[in-house]
Amino acid sequence: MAATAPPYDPTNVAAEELPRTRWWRRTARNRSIWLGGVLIAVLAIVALLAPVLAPYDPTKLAAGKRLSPPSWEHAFGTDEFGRDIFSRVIHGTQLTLYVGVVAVGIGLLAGAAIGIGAGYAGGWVQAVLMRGVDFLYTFPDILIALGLVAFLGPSLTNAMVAVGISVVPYYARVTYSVVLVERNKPYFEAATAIGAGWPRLVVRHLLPNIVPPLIVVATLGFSAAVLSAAALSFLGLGAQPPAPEWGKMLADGRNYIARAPWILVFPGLAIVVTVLGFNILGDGIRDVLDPRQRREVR
Amino acid sequence: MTAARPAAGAPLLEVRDLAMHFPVRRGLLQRTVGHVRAVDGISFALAEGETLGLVGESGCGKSTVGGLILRLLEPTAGSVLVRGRDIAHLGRGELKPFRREVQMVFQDPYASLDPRQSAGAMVAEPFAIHSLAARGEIRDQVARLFDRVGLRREHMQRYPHEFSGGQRQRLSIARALALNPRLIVADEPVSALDVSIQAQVINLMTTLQRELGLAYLFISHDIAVIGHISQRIAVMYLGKLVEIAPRATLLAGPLHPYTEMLLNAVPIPNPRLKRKHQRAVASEVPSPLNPPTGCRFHTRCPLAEARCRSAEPVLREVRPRHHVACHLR
Repeated sequence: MAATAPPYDPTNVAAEELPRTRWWRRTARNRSIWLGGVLIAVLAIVALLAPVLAPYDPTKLAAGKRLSPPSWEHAFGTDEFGRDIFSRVIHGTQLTLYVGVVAVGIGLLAGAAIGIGAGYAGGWVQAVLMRGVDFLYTFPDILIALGLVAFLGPSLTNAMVAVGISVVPYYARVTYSVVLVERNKPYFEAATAIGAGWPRLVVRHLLPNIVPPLIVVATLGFSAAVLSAAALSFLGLGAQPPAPEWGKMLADGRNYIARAPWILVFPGLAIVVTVLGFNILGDGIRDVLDPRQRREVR
Repeated sequence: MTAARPAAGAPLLEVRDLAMHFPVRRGLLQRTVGHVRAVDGISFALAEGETLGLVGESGCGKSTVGGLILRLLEPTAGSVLVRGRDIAHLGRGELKPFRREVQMVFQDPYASLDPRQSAGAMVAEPFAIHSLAARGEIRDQVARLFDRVGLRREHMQRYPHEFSGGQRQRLSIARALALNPRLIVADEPVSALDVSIQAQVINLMTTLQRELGLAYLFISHDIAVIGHISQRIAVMYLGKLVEIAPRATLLAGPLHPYTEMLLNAVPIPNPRLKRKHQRAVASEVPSPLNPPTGCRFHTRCPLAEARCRSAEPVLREVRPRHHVACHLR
C-alpha cells in the first residue's frame, strides 16, 4: 500500500540547486515555452518575410480564377475575387501581429501607469483612479471598443487604438494588485529608510518587481487583443478592403461557406494558431516565473 | 554635507511622550471607528555607543517604536529628538541628513531585501542616494563593507535568494552601515535565524559597535537575547514602558510583575532567577484597540489591587536609574 519513496541519495544535488540556475533550467525544460515560443517565432518570421514568402500579390484580382479550391497553384485556394488566399493569410500575419503589439502596448502602458499611480499614491488618488477603472470594467471590452470605433470612424488604426483602450482597465487592475502586494513588503520600507525618494522607489524597486507578472498578463492579453481586433474587422469596423485582415476575410467569405469553405477555413485556422501560440507561451512564462500559481491552478 | 549639528549635551536619541494611534476604518465610507493605540506615550533616551534593549510580547508596539524613530511612520503625538533635533514631523527632504545618523536592520532577512537587486547594488544604493562617493569609489566602499560584515566580495553579483538567512542579515547590516550612522535600530534582527546563526550575527553587531562606536536600539521579544547584548533594558507592554533599568539590575531584580513574567518564561539554567517569582499567570494579551483602564497589566497581574484597575501608574525612578510603572513598588 505504501508507495516506496526513492532512497536518500546524497549525490543528488538537484534539489539544492540555487534558484537562479533553476530559473534557466525551468525555462529550457518548459514545453509550453518551447511550443508557444516556436509558434510565435514562426509567425513573426512569416510576418517579416511576407513579401518574399507570398507567391502572389494579396490584393491582385483575377476574375477567371474565382473560388478555385486549393491546388498546386493556389495552396489555400482563391476567394470570390480570385485573390490567392495563401498570400492573403501570409500578409494578414503582419497586420495581426501589428494590431496585437499596438493594442497590448497601449493597454499595458496606460494600465500600468494608472495601476502604479493608484497603488503608490493611495488615498483619494487611488479612490478616483480605481473607481473609474471599475466603472469601465463593468462593460465588456468589445462594447467599449465598438463605441470608440463608432466615434473615431472605422479603420484598422482606430480599431487598434480602440482595442488598446478597451483593455486598459484590465491592465490597470492587474498592475494595481501587484503594486499593492509589493509596496507593503519590508524591502520597500528598507529603501525608504536609506533615504530613497519616490522616483527611485518606483523605478528601481517597484518596476523590476512587477514586470514579471505583467509580462505574463501581456502575453495572455495578446491573444484577446487579436481576437477583438478580428471581431471589429469582421463587423466592418476595423480593416477596410482590400486589406488582407483575417477577421475581415472571415466576414467577406461567409456567404460562400457552403460552396468554398477554404475561404473561411484558412484565415480561421491562422487566428486559432496565433491565439493558441500566445496562450501557450503565456502559460509557460507564468509557470517559470511563478511555480506557486501553477500548483494552485491544477 | 553637514549632518545635523549636535546640540550641546543632547543625547544621541531622545524620545518624548511618543504616541502612534492607528485609525481603524470600517464600512463603505471608511469611517474611523476607533484607534489602535500601538504606542501610547513613551519616553526614553539613548547615549552614544550605548545599547538599549526594547523587549515585549508581539503586538506590544515595539516595532512601531522602531518605525517611528526611523520616521517610516509619522507619530500621532510626541517627539523624536536626534541630537536634540526633533524629526517627528520633518518633510522628506529635511529627513535626508537625518537618515545618515540613524539606520535600521529589519526583522525578516527574506522580505527586507529587494529580490531583484544584487547584493552589491543594494549596499551601493545609499552612497548613490546621498552622493557620498564618486562613481568610481563606490565599488571600493561596498567591498570594504562586505569585508567588514564578513561577506565575500565575490558575492556582490549575487541576488538575495542566493544567500542564507545569516548572510542576508549581514547584507542588511552592511547596507545600514553604508551611511556611517551613529545609531542602528535593529528590529528583531535575529528572530528569524537559527540559534547558532543568531550568535554569529549578535557577535558581529557587538564587534561593529566596539569598532565604530555605534549605538543600538535592539528590539526583540526574546529577553535572553536582549539580556545578552544590552546595557540597559526597557520593557514594553501594550504601548507603554513598564520598566527601564540597567541590564544587571533588571535581570537580577525585576520590579514590575510583567518583567518577572517575561524572565520566568526564559529557560535559563540560572538558579538565582529561577522559580523565584512565579506568580504571574500567562493569559491573553488585551487588545490595544481598547486597552484596560488603570494599569494596563492588571488583567494579567497576580498582584493587582483595586487601585490598579482605576489609576494608571506612572514611570518613576524607584532606585537609582531603575524606573518602574507599578503602584506596588
